[in-house]
Formats: sequence, C-alpha cells, structure tokens
Amino acid sequence: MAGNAVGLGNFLRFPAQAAQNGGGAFLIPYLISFLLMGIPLLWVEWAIGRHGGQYGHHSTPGMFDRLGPQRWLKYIGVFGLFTNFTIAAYYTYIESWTLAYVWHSLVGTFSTSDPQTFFPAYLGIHENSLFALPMEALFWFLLTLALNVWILSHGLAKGIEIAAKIGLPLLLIFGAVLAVRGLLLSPGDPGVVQDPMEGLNFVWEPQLAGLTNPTTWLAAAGQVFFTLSVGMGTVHCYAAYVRRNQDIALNASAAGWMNEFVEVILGSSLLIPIATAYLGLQAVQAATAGGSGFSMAFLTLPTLFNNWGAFAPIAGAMWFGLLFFAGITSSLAMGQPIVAFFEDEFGQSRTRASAVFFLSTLILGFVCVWLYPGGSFDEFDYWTGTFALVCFALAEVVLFAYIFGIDRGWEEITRGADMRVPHAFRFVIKYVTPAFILVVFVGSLIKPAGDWSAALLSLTSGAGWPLAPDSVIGKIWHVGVSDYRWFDSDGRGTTHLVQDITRLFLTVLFILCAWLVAAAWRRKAKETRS
Amino acid sequence: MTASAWIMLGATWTVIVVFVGRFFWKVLTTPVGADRIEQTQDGILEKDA
Repeated sequence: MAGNAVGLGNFLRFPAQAAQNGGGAFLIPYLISFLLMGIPLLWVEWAIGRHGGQYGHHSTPGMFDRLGPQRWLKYIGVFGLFTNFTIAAYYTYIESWTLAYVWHSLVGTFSTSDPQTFFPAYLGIHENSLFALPMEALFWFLLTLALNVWILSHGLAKGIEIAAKIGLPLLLIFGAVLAVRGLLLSPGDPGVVQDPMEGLNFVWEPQLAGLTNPTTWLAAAGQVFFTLSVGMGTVHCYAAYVRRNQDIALNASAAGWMNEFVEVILGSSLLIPIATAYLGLQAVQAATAGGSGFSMAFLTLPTLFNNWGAFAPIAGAMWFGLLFFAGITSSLAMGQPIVAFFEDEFGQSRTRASAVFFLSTLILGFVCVWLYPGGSFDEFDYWTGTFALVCFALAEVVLFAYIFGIDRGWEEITRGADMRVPHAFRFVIKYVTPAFILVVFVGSLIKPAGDWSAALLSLTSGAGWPLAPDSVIGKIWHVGVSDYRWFDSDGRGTTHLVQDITRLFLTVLFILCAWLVAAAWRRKAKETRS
Repeated sequence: MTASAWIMLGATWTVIVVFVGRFFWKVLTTPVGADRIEQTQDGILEKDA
C-alpha cells in the first residue's frame, strides 16, 4: 500500500504545489489537512472498501450502493471511476517522461543538450501553438500505457508488489543522496545561480498569510488527497480484498505516515532547493505559476547529474528509473478499480476490462499530449487531480458518518485493528472532517478578490460579490481575463478555447461514467428478474 | 535559513519520523493470525440492502 501511495506526487507534484502556493504559506494548511482530513479519510476509505468487498464489489459505485438503502448512493461512486479514468491518463503521460529520461540519460543526451531546451522540444511545445504532436513523447506514452495494461491484464499486481519492496527503499536511499548533494551546492559551482538553502528556507519559513487564503487550503487539501490517493477510489479497491476481520487501521496509518515521510522530508529537500540553485527562486515560482508544475524536475535534475562526471548517465537513469517504478505502482492502482468495475458490474473478463482501460487512457492521454501547449494537461490536473478529489472526499465522509452511520462506521474501522484508534477520531470523522472539507470547498468556490470583509461589504451594498480569478467559480467564468475570446484576430484558437473545450470534455466524461453505472445496475436488475 | 524556518522544519520532521517509526515497528512486530481468516465460504456476503 505504501508502494501505491508513494509516487510521482511526492517528488514532482508536492514541491511544485508548495512553490506555487507560497512555500511556508502552503505547508501549514498542508500539515493540518493531513491530520484532520488525510488520516481520517484513509480510515473511512479502507472501511468503505473492506465493507464493499464483502459483497463482491471492488469499485466505488457498488461499495457506495452498499452503504445504505438509497438508490442514488451508487452515483456518488461515479467519482471513483471518473477520477481514475482522468488522472490515469495524464499520470501515465508523466510516467512516460521518466521512462524517456532513463533512455536519454543512458545515451548521454543531456551532456550535449540543455534540459531547458530539450524538455519543451520533447513535449512539442512551439511558440504561438496550442497543439503538439510530439512523436517521441507519443512513443514513450504508448509504451508506458502498454506496459501498464499488460500488467493489469495478467494480474501481475503481486509481482509488482514484491518488486516495490526492493524499488521503494532504493528510491528513498537515492533520494536522500540527491537531497544531500543538492543542498551542498554552492553559488561557486558550475551553473549554480543561487544558494539552494534559500529554496529550503522558502519551503519552511512559516507564513501565516496562507491560513486565510482558501485557494491555498484547496491546493493543500488537493495535494493531501492526491498524494495519499484518497478521494480517488484506489484505496477502496485495495481494501476490498482485505478480509472482514483483518486490520485496516494500522495499515492505513503506516501507509499514510510513510507517504508523508517521503513527501515532506525528501520531497521538500530535493526539487525546490536544486531548482533554486540552477534556476533561481523567482524562476522556480514563475515556472510553477498557474500550472501543475510537474515539469520542474525534468528541467533541472539532469543539470545536477551532468556535474557528476562519468557517473552522470547512471545517476540519471537510476533516478528516473526509480521514479518510473514509483509511478507505475500508482498508475496500476488507478487502473485496477476500472478493471474491477467492468469485471464486477458488467461481467467482463479481465482482458476485456483491461482493453477498456487501455482505450480510455489512450484517448484521454492523447488529449493531454495533443493540447499540452494550450493548457489541457493543467486543466486535467486541477479539475480531476484537485477539485474532484475534494468533492468526492466531502461526499464520502458525509455518507459514511450520516448514512452508513458513525456507530457502524466506527465498528468497521476498529474491527480487527492492530492498533488502538484514538476515540477522538470518532468525533473528528463525524464533525470535524466534513466541516473542514466543506469550509475549504465553499471557500475555494467563492473566494473573493481582496479580503472577505470587503467582499461582504460589497455584497451588502449591492455591488455584488467580487470573485477572485483563482476561485473555482472565477476560473469557470474566466474572471479577471481582460481579453476573453476563443479566437484571436487572425482566427487562431486561444488558450481559453482549449480550457473551455477541456472542461466540457471532462463534464461529458463524468456524465458518461454516470451513464455506465446506471447501465450496469439496469443490467443487473434485468438479470435478477430473468 | 531563518531561525523560524529551522524550528518549523525540526518540529515537523521530528513528528513525522516518530510516527513513521512507531507505526512501522508495530506493523513489523504484529503477527498475522490465521484465525483472522474466516467469513463465508467464498468470502462474499449475501446482499442485504
């Protein structure tokens, strides 16, 4: 389970999110979110998963259907399909970058090419173009996807689990070596423009301003969910294979804290200090502004390895290879609930269910590849890798505490537990976690431009609510964009066109997932009648 | 690094290391008993909702 939780989110997404949201200003909401949302939600998801698994369900629609007699409950589980379909698509694309970088490290590409020009060219980014058709990136993407599907269709999860037991410690050791080497860089070294300790200071300098910014809270909560794989449906799927009286509380806690160890201790000490050393802190913040920031590692780390002389190709290949390994354990975990849904609810064979996963990831991934320069990839990450996770988490904790019932829920969490679960968490799960997520959710929906008291004054004086551009509604309505057009004066599409098309596409996909659930239940009802 | 940044780093890292150590020690030292494996014959319950 720790192998699934530790992934690209720890090393690539967390540092970027921290840089984007003010470093220390991000870290306090992040740590609070982990304690009040992350850990309780892990227990809730393990409990829902184990409970659903006893009825033969390994994906969230069926599990939620079993939480109570209401027929609509299964539709909340649609989130668990939607997020896996969509996150798997762009996650597999990032995973393919790591595989490509293993190859390029081995053949010495970075000794002759600057990563900062190589990476945009690899992604097919050209000035003034919204589209990209990078043949090499597509090749590595297809290879990575094929490998994922091959493992899924052959049910080799156990083999991967064994390999993860070797790969994960190796990743941690190598990550620690890199972090120490990165922090020891000094402005006199080749290519170094700033002291890396300034990057570390940026991450750890407490900034209380972040506590009053709902967007920072949403980003922090989203990162906690993304990194722990909560609000996705993957934890539920794992838990569905746990027997009725087997421990879930200790396993969930160990996996959660292990993930934090990797993310907070290694993740914060690695990428931002190294990127600060080679690019400068301002450039790091600019590189991550407004996007997912996954690319930062690919722009900077090969430069670090280049300074390691003859060891550079091996170091690069080893690092990106281990990252690929961390990534594939997570992407397989995303594929498993989809395969399980088609097996359990449509009676499909594992091979056919895997083929559905292949096709859907291919189509969705192609959208990310093709429209990457227009910002489609970042739209996927925001709406599915942050927003949808928070929506699902809010819904599931409310259903668990109030429909399934906190008494049954608590009994489910603590049954067979190999640790004493603090009783205070019963109160936390029933009141604190739902209230906390609700406040973050509503706050980020309607975050005002300026402070809240001024916004209230504006509302009561009849001038309306001044939405911030980075609020969820502000993003949907493109608030603050002075020149909102789908086509420029030359008739070429703009990034707003790509953003709106991507959002529409994701909405249609969500409806399609809901339709699949409805069709599966209609099919089962028909079978029962006959 | 400022003093406040060092304090925050030190406090956070200590808490995380303590909890990771504690939970992993517990995982490693807790035996998985065969008596835990029970349930219905195929492990799947009948529909009750």
